[in-house]
Amino acid sequence: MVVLTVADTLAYLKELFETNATLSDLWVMGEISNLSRSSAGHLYFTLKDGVGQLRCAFFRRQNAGIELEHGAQLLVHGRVSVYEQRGELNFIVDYVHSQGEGILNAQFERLKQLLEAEGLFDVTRKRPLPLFPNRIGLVTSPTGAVLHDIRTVVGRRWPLAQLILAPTPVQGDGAAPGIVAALQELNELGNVDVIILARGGGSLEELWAFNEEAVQRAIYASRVPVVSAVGHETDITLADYVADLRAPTPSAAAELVVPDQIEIAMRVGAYTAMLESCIQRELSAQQDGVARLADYLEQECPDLAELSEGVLGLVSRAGTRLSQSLAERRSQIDMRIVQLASLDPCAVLERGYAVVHRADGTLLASVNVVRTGEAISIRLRDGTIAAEVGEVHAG
Amino acid sequence: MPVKQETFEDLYGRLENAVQCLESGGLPLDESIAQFEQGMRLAKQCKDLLESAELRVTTLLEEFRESSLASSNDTDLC
Repeated sequence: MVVLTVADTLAYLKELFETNATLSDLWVMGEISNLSRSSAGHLYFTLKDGVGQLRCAFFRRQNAGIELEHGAQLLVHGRVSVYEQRGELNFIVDYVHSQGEGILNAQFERLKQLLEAEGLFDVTRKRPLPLFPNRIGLVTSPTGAVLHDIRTVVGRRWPLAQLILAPTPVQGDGAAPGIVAALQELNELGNVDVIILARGGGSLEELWAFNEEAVQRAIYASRVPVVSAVGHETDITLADYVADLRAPTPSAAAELVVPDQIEIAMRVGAYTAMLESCIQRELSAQQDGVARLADYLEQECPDLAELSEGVLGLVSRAGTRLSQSLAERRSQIDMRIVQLASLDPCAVLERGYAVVHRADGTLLASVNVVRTGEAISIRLRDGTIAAEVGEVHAG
Repeated sequence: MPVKQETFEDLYGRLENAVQCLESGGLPLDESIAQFEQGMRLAKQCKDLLESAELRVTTLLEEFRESSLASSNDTDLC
């Protein structure tokens, strides 16, 4: 026998409900009644059908912008709990979907909202794909056409790559855990450059694994960029929002992930041509440079033959000039000699004149300086007479 | 571990580099010629890689087996 307090009983019940996998993640369908909004902004209503009713609380944090109408048919998501103060069973609503579009659409919208709010779709975290991937992880079914298609496209466009198949069911109960494990294992393997997550076309139900929350979290956690390629161009899954890149189809994913070898070979060819034209240009520029230098040297270097000719000319001209001026000098000197000869006092003596010197040797040129009895010397053409002054008569 | 072979990406990147170097000019002649020869060699290696390439398809299981073999070989060497 177990005896519990009321509080313990309620707490036990509450824990029982909240740890139950089904009751803690549940969609319930029904008609809305007894709708009220508290002053704090929480919504309270009853969800009922022909058999019974369920008390629901829709708290302000989740109900922003949502208008509920009395009598409407709803599909609500939430968890079952216990309101201990009243001992009532309560359904805590976190998402409301108007009925009619089906449960999968409701779940899609609910998860989309949830994951978007958490930042799993954030465009700023989208990573660029490598230009030349070496190792491409492929998460898909080992038996479908998708593997064949991707293999064909990659083999044609970029056979340098290696495709690593991480096989997983892509439909049914095993699909979501299989995809999650495949993504994790490709990350563990290391040096995988990019992952393609692919599946062929199908109904919303068949593609559902690619909308599972666990798959989105595994894509988000992948350190290797992920390209999603699920279904046809018109099929959108949540994986498309979380992946680094969405490809409209699996073949398109292969095209996006690898470059085209023909194009790359052309680029390599173009580079070769560029290298050749560059080196050609460089060489001819160098040649021009050398030729220019040679021209310059030729221009700037004096012509030796011409110079030596010039020097010789100058020398001979100088020689001529020199001998001319020597001859001139000589004739000038000859003239001077004649002039000098005419001034020679001896020449006057030849003609019969005499020169008188005083005893001290000075020339006696005036009667005023001489005294009577003074000894003088008279020089004639052919000798000297020693004499004495007798009388002096002026003028 | 096998000697790490140069990937296409490495070769192509170095080829682009050589072209850029030579295009921007201003190098001494012997360096220009070295860049040219290097570039031509890289271009040939790129073309050879493209021509000889054949797509390899493996499975995750094979990969794990291979990498665990490689790592056990490593420990043997130690």
